[in-house]
Amino acid sequence: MADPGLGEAFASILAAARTGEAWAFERLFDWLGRPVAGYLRGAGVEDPDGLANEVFLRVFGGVGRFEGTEARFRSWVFAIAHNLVIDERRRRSRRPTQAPLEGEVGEGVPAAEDAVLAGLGDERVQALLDTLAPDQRDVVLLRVVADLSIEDTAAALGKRPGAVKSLQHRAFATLRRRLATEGEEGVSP
Amino acid sequence: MSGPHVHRDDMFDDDPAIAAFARDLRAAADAAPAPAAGPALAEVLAGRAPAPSYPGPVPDGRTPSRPGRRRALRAALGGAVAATVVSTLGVAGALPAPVQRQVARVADVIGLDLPGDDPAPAMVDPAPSGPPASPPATGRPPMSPVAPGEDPDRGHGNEDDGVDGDNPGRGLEEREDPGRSGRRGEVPADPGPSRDEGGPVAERRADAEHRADLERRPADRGEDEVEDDVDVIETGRP
Repeated sequence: MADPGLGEAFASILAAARTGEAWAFERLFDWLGRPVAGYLRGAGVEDPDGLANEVFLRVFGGVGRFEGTEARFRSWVFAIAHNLVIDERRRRSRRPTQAPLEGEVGEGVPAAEDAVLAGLGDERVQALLDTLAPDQRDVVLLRVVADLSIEDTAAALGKRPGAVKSLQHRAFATLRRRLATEGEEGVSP
Repeated sequence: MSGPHVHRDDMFDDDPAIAAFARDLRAAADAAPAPAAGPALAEVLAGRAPAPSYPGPVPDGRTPSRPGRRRALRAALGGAVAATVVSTLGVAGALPAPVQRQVARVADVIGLDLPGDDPAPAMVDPAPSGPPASPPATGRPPMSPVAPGEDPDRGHGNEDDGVDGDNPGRGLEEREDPGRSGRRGEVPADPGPSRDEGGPVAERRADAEHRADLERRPADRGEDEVEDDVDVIETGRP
């Protein structure tokens, strides 16, 4: 089910949120909480719910200064989410990897990828996403899960629209090859 | 996957496989549970606590800043700084001589008089009564108007003066400007011997002039004629 957006109600909700009205915060959280969490899960973060909370705390803390359209607001929210994803990727890359102790496999906290698979509920989709480079995956997630336009995706990622189109083109080319391979394997005996 | 916010125009490219993948991805995201509000967020949502101030960038209704625009601004700023530095040094006459001349020439176009583009002192009278004019003190050796072997109809092509040899019109313009020849260290037109002079000195001067004339315009003369003239000079006999 595609997100219908807030439409004409956005202006009044935004005005109320800028003055700190709790009901407006709740409407915004109801509106974008799920796609934000979906983006975070697809991006492979370890704690998508916790990070989604952090995203909305930042949004509510800065909404008083926000001015713009509904699309721009949506893009800003996902820009915050994307920055948190980048932060987590950096933290994870600095963190030394620990081999699981004997007997721990399958018993401890699930790995990030497993959490993502569980979150998205579709192993095949996540496996396809995993074939993409991180920046390509970000573009696909923001375009599909977050419903952002090329321009809004570019604003969220801090890139030029042309760069986003290029990343999307390469991502879809990779997915096409992968899907074609899947098809061949599916029909082969 | 056909909601109003899905940007199908350039996303799926009429590729059913990609469209199916996007549909599955969206369905998986929609099927995932909504995030639960943690304690801090729950307080904010309940209106019991204000949200902590967010110091990061917030869209303020102006055109969003993009990396390309930032790069262009940086380049423009760098260009402005460079222009200011060159202009300041140019006004002070502190640039290297070739650069100073170029800057002065550009400034001259817009009506600014900078050091390095000053016209040379007025040319000497074609028939002066005093001794021949000496080259201006430029610190460089005098140059012949046309180097040996160089096409006299082309520009000089000196790197220093910025006159490109491929631009004969410019070179001609330069040569015809009497005020510029002295600036480039060229010898002003020799007024010739004084009416009072004579004897061996005058003869040597005349020979030198003739030789210079031969060197200056070899293309205009036949080889035999040139050789004859050289013979005359060397032997002193016609």
